[in-house]
Amino acid sequence: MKSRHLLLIALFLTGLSLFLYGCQANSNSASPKALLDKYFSSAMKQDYATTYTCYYKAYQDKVSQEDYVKHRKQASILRSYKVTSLKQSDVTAQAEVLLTFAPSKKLSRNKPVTVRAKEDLIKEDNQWKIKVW
Amino acid sequence: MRKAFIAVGLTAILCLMLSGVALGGRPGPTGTVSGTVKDISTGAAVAGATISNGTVSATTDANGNYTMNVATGSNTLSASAGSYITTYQVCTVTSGITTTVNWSLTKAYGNQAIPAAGMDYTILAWNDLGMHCDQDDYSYFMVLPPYNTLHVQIQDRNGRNNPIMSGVTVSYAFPKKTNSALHTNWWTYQSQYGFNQPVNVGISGTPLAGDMVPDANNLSWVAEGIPITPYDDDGTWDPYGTATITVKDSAGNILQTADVVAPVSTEMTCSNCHGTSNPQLDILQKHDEHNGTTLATDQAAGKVHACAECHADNALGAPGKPGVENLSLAMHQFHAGKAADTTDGCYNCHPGPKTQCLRGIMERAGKGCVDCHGSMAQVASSIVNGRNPWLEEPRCADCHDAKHAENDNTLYRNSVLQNGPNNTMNGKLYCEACHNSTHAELTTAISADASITQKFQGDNYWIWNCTVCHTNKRQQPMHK
Repeated sequence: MKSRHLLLIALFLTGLSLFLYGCQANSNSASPKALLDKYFSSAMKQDYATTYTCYYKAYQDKVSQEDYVKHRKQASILRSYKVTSLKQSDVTAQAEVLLTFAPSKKLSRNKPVTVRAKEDLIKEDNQWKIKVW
Repeated sequence: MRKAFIAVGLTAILCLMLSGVALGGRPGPTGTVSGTVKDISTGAAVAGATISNGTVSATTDANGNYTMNVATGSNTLSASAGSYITTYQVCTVTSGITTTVNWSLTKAYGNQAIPAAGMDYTILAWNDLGMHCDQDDYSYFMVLPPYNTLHVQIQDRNGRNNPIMSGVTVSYAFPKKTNSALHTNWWTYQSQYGFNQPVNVGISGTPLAGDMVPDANNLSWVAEGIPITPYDDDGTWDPYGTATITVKDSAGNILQTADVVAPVSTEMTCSNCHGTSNPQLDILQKHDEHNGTTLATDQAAGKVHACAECHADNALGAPGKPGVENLSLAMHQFHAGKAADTTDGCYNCHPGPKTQCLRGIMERAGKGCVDCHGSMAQVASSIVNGRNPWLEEPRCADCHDAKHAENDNTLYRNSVLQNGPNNTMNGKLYCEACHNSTHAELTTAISADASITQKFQGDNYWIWNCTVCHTNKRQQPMHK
């Protein structure tokens, strides 16, 4: 009986640990890299509502999710990304990313195009966010 | 006899008194001015504020309201209250009519340490218009191309030969907007609109990053016609993109850097009236219906037109075709009555309800587009009556006292200080250098507008502290 209890407790703790680890791994705030992954992978899927959640408060205060999604659809579709450098301090981080955008009929672009972009990140309420201004 | 003398004397005195009144002792006609005084940041009523025209004054009640009778004609009123900056407005008072003059007062300057005090050079930088228009798609027509303009004045805080216009290199770059062609098709269609510039170079030959050149007055460094869009490289919708300004000496040493906003927006909500499925095509079809043109057919055949091809447009220096209304007249005249004469109404075409072209201190004080520009019908009629759109625009002096008026026959954006505390400053410092762009006069509703004053003065106000530009000067009134 006693060993069964211990086994159940051990299983519970293991499950809890796995749950918390999973939460951290999936959170957009766990690390600058995790945020960048969420930011760009959601953009690749054109899930711009999720992309929007990655921005810091000053941007979200100014631009609503609805407006962001509407305008983001007017810009090019992201096909792939690669973080090439990431510098991090306690509350800020800077990344350089290679972004490849898809061909576009509207832009008369027959081939993908790649650009090196800079991203500023900021820790806000203990969460990493994309800083715009 | 004595009584007779007294009677004559009293009569004479009475006559003199009456004649005195008749000859000018009687007060002239008056009118009533009333309004409310509020705090610009909180909107709370300011009680105990004094409104005065220098002769008569009134004090606001607990709700911030006041009423006073003043002489008819033009009056320069001031509003002052304990912890606020005294503010002035010009109003025209008519006998028998109550004129409403409301006030939104700004808190007095802080006493923070001025960050520039530890620097050798100060950069004053601004965008010329406060907002530029752009289009998400140029495959139907072109109203305006990607085009933005930045100005920079450099002050040597230890020197007397300001602004610095030689011996330095002034460059600009947008760290997050390095490739406009990623998100706009302007360069695909520019040749049809009469331009032939390399990709990411604007119609005036200005690239997305480069060196600035002296302006026509040799007072500021300018980059005119930068082809930025509201999209950052990564696709973020960012109408308030910032450029980094870098000033280097002749040896290449960095003297100073600063960030300045270059607002641009595609938020022309034509779809509010022209349908959501394809508002651009609807515009062409409507134009064809009303004017017998073939714009929609041309577009379907791959040929696109700029509005300025036929309609003269001072924004582009386009002469248009003889007998065709200029673009500003055509747009305002045709759409008058179709949208409300309010700021929201203007935002149907001008950017925009989210972008907020109009966001400066006057907007925060309750003024709208119409308060300066008039209704759409008035905009149109002023052009019919000879006004040159873009080149002749509303004047600060129509509402502000003479000390704060722009230069004669000169737009605010081209005006320079003429009544500074020191004569050597006169004719050198642009109004926009201290007060920021038209439509975005500090303090504004957007934090990005205040990056210069934040860096050098430590607040969001206009430049008010002389220490920002001079090592040996403190605060004093900027306008004598």
